[in-house]
Amino acid sequence: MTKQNKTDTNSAPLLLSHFTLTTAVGCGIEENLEALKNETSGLRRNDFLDVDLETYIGRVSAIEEQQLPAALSDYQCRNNQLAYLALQQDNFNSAIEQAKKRYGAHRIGLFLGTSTSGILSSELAYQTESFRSTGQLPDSVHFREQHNSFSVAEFVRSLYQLKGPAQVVSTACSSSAKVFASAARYIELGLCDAAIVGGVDSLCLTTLYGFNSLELVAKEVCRPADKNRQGLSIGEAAAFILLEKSDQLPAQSTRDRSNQQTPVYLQGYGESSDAYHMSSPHPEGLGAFQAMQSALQHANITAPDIDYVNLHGTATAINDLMEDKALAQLFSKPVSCSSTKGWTGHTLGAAGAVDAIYSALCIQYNFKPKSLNTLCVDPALTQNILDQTQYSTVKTVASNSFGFGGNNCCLILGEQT
Amino acid sequence: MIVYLKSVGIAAPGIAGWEEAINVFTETNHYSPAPVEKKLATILPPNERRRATRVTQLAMYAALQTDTPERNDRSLNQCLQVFCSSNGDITTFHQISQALAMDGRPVSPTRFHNSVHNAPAGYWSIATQTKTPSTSITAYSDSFSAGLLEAAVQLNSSDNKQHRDCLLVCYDEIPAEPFQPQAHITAEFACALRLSLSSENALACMDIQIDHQSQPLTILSDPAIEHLRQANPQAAALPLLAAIARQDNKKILLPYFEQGLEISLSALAQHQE
Repeated sequence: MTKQNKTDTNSAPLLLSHFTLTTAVGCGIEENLEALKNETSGLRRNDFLDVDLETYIGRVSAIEEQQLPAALSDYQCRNNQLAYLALQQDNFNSAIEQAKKRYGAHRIGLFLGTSTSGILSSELAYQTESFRSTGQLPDSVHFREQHNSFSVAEFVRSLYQLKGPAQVVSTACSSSAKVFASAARYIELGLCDAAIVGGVDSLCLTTLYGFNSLELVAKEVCRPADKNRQGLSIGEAAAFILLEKSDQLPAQSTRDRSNQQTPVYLQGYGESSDAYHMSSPHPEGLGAFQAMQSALQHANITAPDIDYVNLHGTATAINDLMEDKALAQLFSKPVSCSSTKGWTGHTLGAAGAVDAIYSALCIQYNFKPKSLNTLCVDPALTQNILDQTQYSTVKTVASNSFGFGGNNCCLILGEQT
Repeated sequence: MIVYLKSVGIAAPGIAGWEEAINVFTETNHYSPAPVEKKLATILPPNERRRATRVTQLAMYAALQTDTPERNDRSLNQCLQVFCSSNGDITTFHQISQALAMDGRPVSPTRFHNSVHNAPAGYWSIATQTKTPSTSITAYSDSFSAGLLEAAVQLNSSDNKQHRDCLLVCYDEIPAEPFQPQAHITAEFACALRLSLSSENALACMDIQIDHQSQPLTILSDPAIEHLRQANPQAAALPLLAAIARQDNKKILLPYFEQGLEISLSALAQHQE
């Protein structure tokens, strides 16, 4: 493309025209929505493989039974099985097929976030007697198709025969928030007409033992914003969203294709770096503040327009306190906010996309979920941590995601274009 | 989509820096691939230097070269940041997996934070105090093109109102031994491109687009350099870097999925000192 595209850029707001997710609370939108409303957590006492850590996890049942199509069997690993399971829900398959007919396979971009990819397959190979004696990985380990961080995108691309631009963003726990920003820019500059964005992260030994080594894992269920919080519960999830330009859709279809629900748009995004520490956020929340502030600017709204903030809210003291400080800088009055990690656990590279879909559901069903598992809100926190789920009009939501390396992203979702 | 190239950093066997790259690309039979130095110049403070792994050091070494002393450039930490690697840090994965196979599974917390794909980007932002947006991506063997495209897109997007420059850093290590049969990387390679919306003091102008005509990919005529191109996914940059070094005005086709990435290059020698 040439320079002229910059002038005829189409910055029509992007519609989340279809979405689906699978988390520890269930497969698909309906099960997730029910769990949010019924306040049922998906966390369970750790029962993952032979992991001997006393903790709770957000494990997705039925991943192991997923059999990928025979032609793609080299991609068989926990991460791609989870992606495949999620893609079977909510008629997402047919939404992609329709989008292909509408735009052409080469005009649909694919932007996915993951931090774990399918490294579990390689980790387990290292545990075998045969690896210990030979130092060689067995034939069942396929580096490109399972282990490499791009494997989930290559799998989805092959599954739907997509030919458009593709990339995996892997910036730890902000990965699948940032894919929205990437996709929006590619669409704006005419490199694709629509995009599939999302995040897939699966349980593995590295993240469980790694976060444990940093003393960030709670022995009990995670209690975001609680004065007695111990840390995070690790979860796994897959979430996918089809982003389309609202002015390109056939009349009426905005509503039809969102299952008669209020259409939700990506109103803005903001990204920043802490430049502070590899595994600890800036204690005053400077990077978090900067990301939220630029998201508001990009959405062309001000802080009072935000009805609810879906917090990064990992339930570590350092995260919860710095995120609160960042919010206090932005909001002159305490804002209604909560973390939904009490339902799903921290799904790491999938958290941004999971939280974006939860935010969209808050807008469509007009509710603000409570801070689940929180028994007594930390008095040091200044914002309005919801101790009860509130059923009231929600038009605009900010969703925060912060990752290792000080990588921050905030998304603004709303029903206004 | 137009971007200007301001400066280049490179770390590859037999090519330690852009001056050496110009010699290698402009003089015949000049290339001899000695391994990349073990000890690389760094701006990391001692603590981080000890913690940063080889692939981070390699990426930062290339990135640092884009801050040329002649330009007395103090704006490096105003650049948008795009980091790109096919495989990330497999050495660290290997070390963690070895620990996970031991009694008690003693994973080191430092190794754990080094294991994230965006570790080099994190170290870079801390060392240079760069607080701009930073992404770390992969597109497997097409990663260099994906990184270049992402950088050009970030600069040209209307949501970028503040930043004139973007630092693109592309790197891959030689993987740990168990992965070598599958991840065919036999040479270390890192390059960094300082890209800009401004033509001032630029080496070249690049018009970047996705190619839909399936034109043949650009390869290198020198067999030794062509061998290097195939030895690392990020060395896909070499045909582009060679053309820039020779101040060629030509189209370069780099691998990008089914299509290829077309870069129309115009040298801007008149701007050079």
